[in-house]
Amino acid sequence: MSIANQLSNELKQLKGFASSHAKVVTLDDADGNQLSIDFNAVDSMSCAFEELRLNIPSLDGSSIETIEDWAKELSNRVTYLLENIGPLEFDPTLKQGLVRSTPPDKSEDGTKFYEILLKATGNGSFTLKRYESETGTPGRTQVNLQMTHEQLLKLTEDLFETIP
Amino acid sequence: MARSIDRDLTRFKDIVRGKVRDNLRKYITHGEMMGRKGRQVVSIPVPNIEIPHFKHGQRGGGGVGQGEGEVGQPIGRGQDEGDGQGQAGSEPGSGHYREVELELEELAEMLADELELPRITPKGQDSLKSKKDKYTTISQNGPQSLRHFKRTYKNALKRLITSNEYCPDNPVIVPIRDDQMYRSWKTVHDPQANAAVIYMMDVSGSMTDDQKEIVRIEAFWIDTWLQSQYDGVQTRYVIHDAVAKEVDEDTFYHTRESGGTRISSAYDVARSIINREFPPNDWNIYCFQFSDGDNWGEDNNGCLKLLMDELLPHCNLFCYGQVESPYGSGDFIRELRRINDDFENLILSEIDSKNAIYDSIKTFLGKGR
Repeated sequence: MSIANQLSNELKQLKGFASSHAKVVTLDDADGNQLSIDFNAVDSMSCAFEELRLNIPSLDGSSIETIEDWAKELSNRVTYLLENIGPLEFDPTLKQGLVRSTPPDKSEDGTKFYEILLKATGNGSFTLKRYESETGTPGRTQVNLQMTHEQLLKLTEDLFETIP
Repeated sequence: MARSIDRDLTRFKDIVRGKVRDNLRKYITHGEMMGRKGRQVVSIPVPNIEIPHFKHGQRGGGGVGQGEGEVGQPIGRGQDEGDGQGQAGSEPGSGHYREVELELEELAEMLADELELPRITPKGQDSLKSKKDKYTTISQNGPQSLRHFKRTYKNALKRLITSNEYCPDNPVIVPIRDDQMYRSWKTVHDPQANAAVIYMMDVSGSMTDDQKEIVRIEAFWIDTWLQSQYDGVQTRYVIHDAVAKEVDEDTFYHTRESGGTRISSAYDVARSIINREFPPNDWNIYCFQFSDGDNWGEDNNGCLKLLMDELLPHCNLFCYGQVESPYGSGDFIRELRRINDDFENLILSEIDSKNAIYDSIKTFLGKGR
């Protein structure tokens, strides 16, 4: 069974769940890749979660160019979130890439944006979070990501299809 | 007695200074008046004064006391009534400005007065002294290239007169060895208060051109102030993303990289510059760091350690300015606030826009260290 199907079943089972303590759902595919999502709430149509992680053992030791290509492909495919995303920074030493909302969602009160960290070290990984920063206050706060089931399933499919 | 032109020039300068003072905040926060002749002189646009003058009328248009009209009737054409097209603008016209040039030192004085900046006290007895050779003395020995012809001639003349050998009808004077005089030098020690300024800027992908413009303007004014306070200001520039390097001024202001953000790399380069070139006992060291504060997670602890152990103990001032990126303001300034109480030479400032530059400069330099 594909990861998207497994996730769809999990969402059905979690319907009605709501808690400030996240419930971690972990799913594995046949290639050893592992998807983890920290859910805070799920209803019949949408869900809220703190973080989405994908561990990709085959990515360990890949070059920074691989990470850059992956960041570009993800940015081209994932166009259905609240903001478009785009590559921002790459660290050749640590073989990490940073992808963020481009541009971020700005309002009078502050800024909200998605942040994706791609790593080719210590088991390659993908981590998706959302942050908001308040105007005039340094620092930023992690906030829940909210998506429809359809968006989340599509994101999962795109993630697995673009793995380098 | 002062010449009329001198009085006029002084008056003109006073007017210009007054205009600059009135608008200094505006000039500081906008970069359009950056120096055009290197860094010694800056051009400042000041409103032009249009002097009223007479104009000749059209030929055949009549003269004084001629034409129709009654006594008491206003002369000249009446005002047209009715609405014209468009509305009056709210911006000043572009043609009424004149660019005047001011010396940097003069500008620094104005800046200091306006921001009420205190004078910076150099490091007491540890100031460096430079040696200079000045040719101010005369010696009986020396190379022919330094021979003082006039004194040599005078000596020869005196010798001939006192020995009654001088003949006015045949005034031939031939200096001998004892007549020769030479220019000689004396070594003088000039006390100098030396300052080293290290600018560090984050040029990672999250720093936009707008943020670099803010850094550029602020660095210019800080430089202006420090140049006015010290004789021998040495400036070094460091840029960093995940890796830091020392660069020249032009590269500092115009580079955009896309690497990650690792602030500790910049601290490491600053430390090696200080160790290599500026012994802290002899130099007043100023560090100015600018970033959007979006440091990559695990680097913060390394930064604090370098800062507390290697930089803060040696710096007169360590100023950190956090500019606001499109993603808001980063976390790094919060980390620095944790140690701020322990180091009074650590100055923090948030610069959310160009309008905040003015207050940020005051925050940085207001302590007079």
